[in-house]
Amino acid sequence: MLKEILKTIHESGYFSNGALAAELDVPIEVVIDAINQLVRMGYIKKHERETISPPSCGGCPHSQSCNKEILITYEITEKGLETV
Amino acid sequence: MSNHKIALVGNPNSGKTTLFNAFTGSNQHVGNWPGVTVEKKEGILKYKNKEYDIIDLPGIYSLGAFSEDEIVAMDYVLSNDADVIINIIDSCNIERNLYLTTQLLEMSKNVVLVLNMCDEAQKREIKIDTAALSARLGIPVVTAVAYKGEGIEDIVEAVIKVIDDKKSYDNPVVYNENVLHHIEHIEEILEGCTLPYPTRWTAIKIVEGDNHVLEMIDECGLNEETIKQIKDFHKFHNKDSFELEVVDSRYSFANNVARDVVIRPEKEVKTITDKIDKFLINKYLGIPIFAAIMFIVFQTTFIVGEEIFGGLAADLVEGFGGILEGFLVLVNSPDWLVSLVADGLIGGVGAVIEFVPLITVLYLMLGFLEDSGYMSRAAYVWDNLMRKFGLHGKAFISMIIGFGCNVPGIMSTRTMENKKDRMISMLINPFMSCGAKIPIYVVFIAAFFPNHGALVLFTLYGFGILVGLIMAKVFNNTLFKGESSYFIMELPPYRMPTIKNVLRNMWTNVYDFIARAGTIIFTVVTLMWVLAVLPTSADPYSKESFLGMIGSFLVPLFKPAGFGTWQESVALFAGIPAKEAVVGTLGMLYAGEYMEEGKILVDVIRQHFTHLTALSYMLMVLLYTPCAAVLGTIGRETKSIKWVIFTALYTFLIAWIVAVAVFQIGSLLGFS
Repeated sequence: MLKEILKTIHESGYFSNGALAAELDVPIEVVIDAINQLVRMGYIKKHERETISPPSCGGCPHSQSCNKEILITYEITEKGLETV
Repeated sequence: MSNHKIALVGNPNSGKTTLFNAFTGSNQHVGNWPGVTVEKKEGILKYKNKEYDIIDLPGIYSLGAFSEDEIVAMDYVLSNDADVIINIIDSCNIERNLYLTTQLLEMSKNVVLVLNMCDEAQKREIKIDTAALSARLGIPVVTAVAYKGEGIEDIVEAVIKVIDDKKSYDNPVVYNENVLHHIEHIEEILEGCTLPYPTRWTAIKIVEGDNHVLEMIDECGLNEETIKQIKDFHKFHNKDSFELEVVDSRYSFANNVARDVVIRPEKEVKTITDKIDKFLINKYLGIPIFAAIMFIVFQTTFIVGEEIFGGLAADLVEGFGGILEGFLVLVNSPDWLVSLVADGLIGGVGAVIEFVPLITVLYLMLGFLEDSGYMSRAAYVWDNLMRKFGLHGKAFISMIIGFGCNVPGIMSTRTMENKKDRMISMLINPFMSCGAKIPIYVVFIAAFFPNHGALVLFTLYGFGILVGLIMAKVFNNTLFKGESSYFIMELPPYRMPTIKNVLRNMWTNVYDFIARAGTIIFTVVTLMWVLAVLPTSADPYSKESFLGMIGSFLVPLFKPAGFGTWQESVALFAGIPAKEAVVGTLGMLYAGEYMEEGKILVDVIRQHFTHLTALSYMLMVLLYTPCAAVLGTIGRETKSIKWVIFTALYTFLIAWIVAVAVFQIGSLLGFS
């Protein structure tokens, strides 16, 4: 299952947990768990967002926009690429 | 004789702590596991005149070496300190929880499985064949609703039976032939060795390539030959592929067991999110659908923000201005003060404030789109196109943020690990038309394109994106050669936007707009007014004023683009500190003309521009040098004045070329 998930997301460039769950015929929670497992095992890496909050941001009304996470992205590591 | 020990193991939120509290009541204490910061909870269960020590292990999803919690739990389970392990699982998420169960079974420990939250499973019409589950796993299975105290006695009875039976359980987890062959091979190597952990489990972990166990092997006093054989195993075989196969086998086992014993209600396999995504992220339909959605946003903005509420705002500003001017005249205020207030502040700042309703509607709609989860889809559909220009979907997000204000748009490029991607995204962000430019467009649209407001606005935004993409391609081939980073986007499920989030997003942008009107624009317009009324020897607002002289100096630069008056030139100059100041300055400079003659600014603009010059002026505003705040942000993010100067100059050059080309070609073709 993990290999299938890795291959699918590598080929399509995106994934939705719902679509993967439907494709693999497993509950969505299992897919979420599997993605986390792949991250933990070092096959994919989640891009963590750096929080921007220098002192000058305090008065800026857009300070929340700078730290808003609109897009969650991952990267397949070398270990993951070797596997797929 | 010491008490029997019972350890509680389970996923977070499976009800483990509730069960622990139900067992121990107030007979519990909390400490830390030695050497780590992980909490250790212990208590005493008193049942039928006997006492049992209960240890609540940290909530974990699996037993590995990926976190302190996992290592603590794994080491404790393997230490043989506990006589029985109670594995609590959430009955509604049995597939996910069973992964941990398979790992416990591999350790050949006495396990009692507790299906907790049965009431919730019943509500969701999930049926679990507990007898079949027990047979498949080879361990006792008990149902419970821990928070209600149901099933507690059954659990204790099951645990006592396991202790009394002293039965050992076979590991039912099935690995594929290839993995099984290697596990058995390692078991043979380890035969006869004194290990701190069960041989079978150690063999599985060695094949899996578990670093924690491999380190243990080095330290547990095995003979050199044994250690060499184990190390040779990893030398000749790809450690990583076995790791995935072993983990996959556990998932497959858990899913197969769940499939056999769990009956869920019939439901559609595909979610609504996936059905919608079939169209929204379609290779061919994705971008046209995005364009259509944005057109609807602009159309709604114009109809509601400008046509319905815009006039109301203008009347309010004009009325307030009239009252204020009247008051100042009544109290015999000096002429310069009346002029400052009427022409400078009301004419200038007021001209900007009139657009608050329009800005409000625009950001309400964009906030709705963002909170719904659509924007990540938009980033995905644009990713493919943007890669042809040397960018990718993350840059699209910075562009979307830039539509509000380019400052956070540029700051958001910090999410890009690749320096090339980041630099290009920063340099093209000023082409994303920010909210501050909207008042300028709206005045000209109202004057010359009143029936096509949404289309003109949509075209301007689209043209800004196009210029941005073209410049990205140029930068990719010249200044910043190299490959873009490759990444995968997660598309979260769509959700109903919450009023709180949508209003917060709207308020952020509206507040910024109003705050800037009250501060920067107020300052700029006041400064412009001072320059426009000095020297006292010149007529106020005339070519001979300081402002007139600056404007006249700039006229030759802008004449080829069709707007050759000093007022139009100096208004662009005023847009460097803040873009809203363009309208503010035009409003202030023409205020005498339109307020005295009872006209509105739009009428005056109509007299000083043509359709063609209005278009070239809007294009100039769209593309030229960004405001001081944006330039400052580029300087801070790049830590280089070089890029600030470069941005200021290259954007002006692009804007000038486009504006001049549009005017000259338009003139040749006979448009006016």
